[in-house]
Amino acid sequence: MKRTVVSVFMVLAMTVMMAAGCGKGNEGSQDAGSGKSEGGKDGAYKVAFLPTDMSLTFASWLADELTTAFEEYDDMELTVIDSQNVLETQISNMETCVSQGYDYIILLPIEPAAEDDIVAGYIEQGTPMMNINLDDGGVEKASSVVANPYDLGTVVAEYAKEQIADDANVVVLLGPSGNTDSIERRRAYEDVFKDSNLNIMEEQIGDWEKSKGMEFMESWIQVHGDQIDAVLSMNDAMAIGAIEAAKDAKLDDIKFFGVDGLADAAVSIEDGGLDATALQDAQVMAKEGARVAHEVLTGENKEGFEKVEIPVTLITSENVAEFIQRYTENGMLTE
Amino acid sequence: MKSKKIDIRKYSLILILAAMVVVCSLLSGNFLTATNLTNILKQVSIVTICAFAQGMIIITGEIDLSIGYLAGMAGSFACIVYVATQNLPLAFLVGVLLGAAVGVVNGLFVAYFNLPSFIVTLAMQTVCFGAICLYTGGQNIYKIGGFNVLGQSYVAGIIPITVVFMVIMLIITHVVLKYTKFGRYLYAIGGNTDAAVAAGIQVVKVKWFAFILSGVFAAIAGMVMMGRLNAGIPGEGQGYETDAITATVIGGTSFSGGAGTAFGTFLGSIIIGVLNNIMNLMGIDSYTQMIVKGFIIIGAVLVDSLSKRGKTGIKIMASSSDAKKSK
Repeated sequence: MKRTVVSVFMVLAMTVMMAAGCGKGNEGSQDAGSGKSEGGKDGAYKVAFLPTDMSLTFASWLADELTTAFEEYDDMELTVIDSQNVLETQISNMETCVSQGYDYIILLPIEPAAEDDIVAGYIEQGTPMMNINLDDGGVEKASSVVANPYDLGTVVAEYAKEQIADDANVVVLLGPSGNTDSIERRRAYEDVFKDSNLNIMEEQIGDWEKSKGMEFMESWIQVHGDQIDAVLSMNDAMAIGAIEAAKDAKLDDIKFFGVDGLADAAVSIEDGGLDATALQDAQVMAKEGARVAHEVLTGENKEGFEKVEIPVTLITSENVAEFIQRYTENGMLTE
Repeated sequence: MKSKKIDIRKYSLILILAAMVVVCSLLSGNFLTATNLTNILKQVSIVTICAFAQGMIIITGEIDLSIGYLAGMAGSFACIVYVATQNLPLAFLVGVLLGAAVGVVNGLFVAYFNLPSFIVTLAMQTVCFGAICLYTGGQNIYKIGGFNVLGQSYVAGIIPITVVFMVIMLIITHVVLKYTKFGRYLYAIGGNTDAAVAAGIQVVKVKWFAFILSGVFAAIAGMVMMGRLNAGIPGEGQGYETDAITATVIGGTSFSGGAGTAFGTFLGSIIIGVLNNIMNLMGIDSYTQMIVKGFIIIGAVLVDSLSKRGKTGIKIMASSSDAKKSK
């Protein structure tokens, strides 16, 4: 009896959550819709964007930029449907979009390797698709607009190589286990530094989290004191966490390198914390994404797909002002 | 009878902790230094405050899974208020009120409508996270300026503020549980709800207030967290509710309600902190850390459970599981 009650509540709770999820999606579509409605969009192509998780800074930025980019086109209408970082949800969302007759699906994949077969299947059945920002190259006929994670690692690693001694002592902070971005960025560092005598004192998984980066750094400072020359972090948040720990221990000579290049990094570089980061530019990515989708839908693109690589941008104290201004203008930073 | 049982538990935790400290200081020369011990306290303080909240709720036989996200939400909103007004007491007050508000909602459904707390507070996780993300559009709050005194400053030049917060909350929790009627009612409800009702305790009111208190504690933990991180990051609270459960249970709080102390929770949290710290000092890789941590947690609970098995333990456990069934 009690179990029945509990399961009923479980179902209710799940319904509530799904309703909340749908609500989010609808809201996105309203946004996109209201943006488009002035243009009059009867018979416009229906395009769905499936981000990983709208509560993540990059995903929500990309969604904003895509919405803006799609406003330039009268014959395309964008709907955003969130997956809250649950792979199963994203796969269900794809199913729904195909059965609802969307003409094009832009996917910001949670796990590209797991989704490749499904994507290939839908393309086969006649719904063209695009992987945006992350792509393992597993689907030949899917369009792809990405900033290569390996290149992101490379530009920072090359800058870091100029900044630190050949036999520097470094500590390394990694993203979640198995994460493609983290693995590729780490590989780029490996390749750039392969001829140097870099000494990796510590290396741990910080799960992209600022608090973890901070905690590891506190412990490492205990063990190695002022011997640490640089922190090589596979994202900015963990590097900035490590900076907080170093600040607290009054160590000023350590260099910090991240990747991502979002508002937090720009602020930190401006304040003299972070030394360098690399940006995958969501604005460029969104414009390219909208262009490719449009060309495929109108038949201008005969093949039905296109693979685009976005150049990555190195941000250091020299050019950070430009990004501070940009992030302030687009609302990611409030002054 | 009851006080004797709790004493044994408390000593067994102190013994485990003492043994760990001895072993750790042999394993790493960097362990037993003032700064490292301060680090451990700093690192556990936020989870510990969450664990005090969780402990009070678990004592009543309920659970509060909204703590982590609530901390993230209240902490981030407090940052927003601070950035807008530069008024720290006001920001702190807003955070506390938000925590209380979520507690009111939790309590309304759990205590008043008698819904399972597991489900209600699970649902409130997404409500909290959704609310803050809706407001910020998924962005974090940077340049929080003076708000970081809540997490990065030092009292009297050496004691980290986070530790001060933890100690204050420890004292409050201890006093509430041990010296107030409300505290004794919490144990009574968790031990046997029917008996509590028969004794004239207003179960709905007491439980409701417990959830409000839990919300306030979580909000304070959240503000300290954002101060320490020097940014408002809504997602950082995620997972603190389970860490808090671990600390409370290691600390000897009975999962079926009716037993537990503030000091036990405090010790439980420190034990986990020491464990994390020594593995980081020794450079043990992440995957091994996860496995070791899991087994040591089971081991600690096992040792604790064996040490109290005997005269009093079984009887009390039996009666509290009866209470659970009859709910």
